[in-house]
Amino acid sequence: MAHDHLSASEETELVARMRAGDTDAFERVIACYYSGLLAYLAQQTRSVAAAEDILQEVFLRLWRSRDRIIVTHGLTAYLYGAVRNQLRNHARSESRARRTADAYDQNATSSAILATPDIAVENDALAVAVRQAIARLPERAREVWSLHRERGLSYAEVAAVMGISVNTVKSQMGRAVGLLRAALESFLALTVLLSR
Amino acid sequence: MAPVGTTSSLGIPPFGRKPVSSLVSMFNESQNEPTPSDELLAQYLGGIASSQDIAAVQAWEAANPAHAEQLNLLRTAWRVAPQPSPHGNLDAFVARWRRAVDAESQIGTNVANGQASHRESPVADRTSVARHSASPSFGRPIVREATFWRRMSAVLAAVVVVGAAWYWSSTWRGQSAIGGNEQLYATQAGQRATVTLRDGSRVILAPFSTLRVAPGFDMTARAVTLHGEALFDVARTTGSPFVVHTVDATTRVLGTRFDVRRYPDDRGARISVLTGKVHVTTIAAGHASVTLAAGMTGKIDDSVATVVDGGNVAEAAQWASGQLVFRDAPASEILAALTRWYGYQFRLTDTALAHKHLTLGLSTESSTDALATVKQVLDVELSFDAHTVTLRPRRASVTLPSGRSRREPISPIHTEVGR
Repeated sequence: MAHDHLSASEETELVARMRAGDTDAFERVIACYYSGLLAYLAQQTRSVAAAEDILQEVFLRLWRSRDRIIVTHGLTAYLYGAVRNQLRNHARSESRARRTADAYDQNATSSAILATPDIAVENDALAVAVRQAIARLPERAREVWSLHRERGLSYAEVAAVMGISVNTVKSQMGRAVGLLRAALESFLALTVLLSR
Repeated sequence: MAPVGTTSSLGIPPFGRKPVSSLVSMFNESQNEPTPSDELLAQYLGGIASSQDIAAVQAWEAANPAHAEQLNLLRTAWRVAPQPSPHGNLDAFVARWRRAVDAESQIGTNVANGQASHRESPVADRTSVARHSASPSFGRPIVREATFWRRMSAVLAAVVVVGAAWYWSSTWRGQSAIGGNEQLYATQAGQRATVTLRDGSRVILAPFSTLRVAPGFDMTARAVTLHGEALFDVARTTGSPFVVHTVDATTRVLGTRFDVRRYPDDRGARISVLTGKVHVTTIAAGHASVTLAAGMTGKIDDSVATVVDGGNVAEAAQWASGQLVFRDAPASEILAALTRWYGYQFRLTDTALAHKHLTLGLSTESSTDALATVKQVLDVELSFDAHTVTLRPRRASVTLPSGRSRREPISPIHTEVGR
């Protein structure tokens, strides 16, 4: 994943340069994290355009408050945390805006929504079942799964981003695996049937 | 294999039983290895379990073939790629951020939204492109009113990437009278644009293409310059001939419908005439020329213009109506087209795949459909990273019984196009 490119020392140096207002350092960080953060945002918002806008806002805010950047759990956790906060602000103002806008225009919002829930590039029944099971996970388990499994964050990073303990991350991942297993039970039963 | 209560395993666990681990405990009845918890399995699958825990999982796996089945199923599920990620445009993103930052440092704060205002007039002619653009990847419209200027900056970034330095010098400086300035239309991966020119001619621009409309178009001459591919529907007027320049050829027409394709990695320009007649002249010294009537395809190859035998002109223009048609084309060419249409980068674990020749039709409307077809026809597994799709030759199905995983081979989508 993209954020594996920075070594710890590079990261420290970049953060120091960002705090000093070095736009090149900002751009290097953006280049490293752009695709991962965008994928995470697009999945949460279902809209690439909204994801781009939110990410733009995150990096602009970082620039504005650059002298207050304090990275405690690594840059990855810091950036995903910032994105997650911005996402929540966005969701709040969005739901406010939607209440008024919906009455006028339904197409505008729906046309900007990604078709991802139905996308199943893999036609294998198993792959489809896995994706469905993941989409149906409870919100918290889904978010933990997404950050850890799809975006490659460590348990500690996920914990820092979501403001929960590492143990909660562990149990939520266990929950996800358990529900996944339950959802795939029919595949297993069939295997057993055939191999008897 | 140990007998297993299949009926109950197919059903939903009865209420009151711990649903998640019911399967494990059921399989586990005749065995003594402790069942690993879901938490432990998650860590094991994620490659972060301790060596002691790994050993425990492995012991459990070895104790019963049914355990191995379960674990294998989970391993496969774990590897199922997440939904394909969107392909942002990093350069455009950074450029936009940079503008906002520059604006803030110059004027203070809170001007982030004003960054495009001074650029409105020079690009005003291009609004028609963006508004008519269709079918970007992910099925979203390119332009929403609110983000219009942001989208435009992405288009502009593409122009810069193309390296059109002349654009900045000639177009960027203010606007003159109508028809007096050069216009540039550019598409990115997955974008199409329909351009209606001043004489009424219509041009559909394929992805990764630029169309430059010369200053004074329709006043002194009707000349455009194309990089990439476009389908022209030229209005029949009494005026001057319509001329399409590519790097290696000049195509002159009166009223007609034809497709011109010249991507940088193409050997030479290809011109397919649907109706009417065109005259193609090479740029190279000697100015070889060929006249093409409806139904004919011409190619420029090392400064020689030739008529291609058996070229299907309707298929060549099929992209404009939603289908890319390939006949006996190498997979590398097909994947290059998908890169243009959907922005995916492809990686082949087996380079022999690139040389496989295929005949198929791919949708330009749905990346899902297109990739599903490629997957089936090439018989590969696809895995997704942010920008890259990896194609791996499919091995014999590991986990799934044949009844489930093997599908009836589906023949490639095949469109009979009107001749």
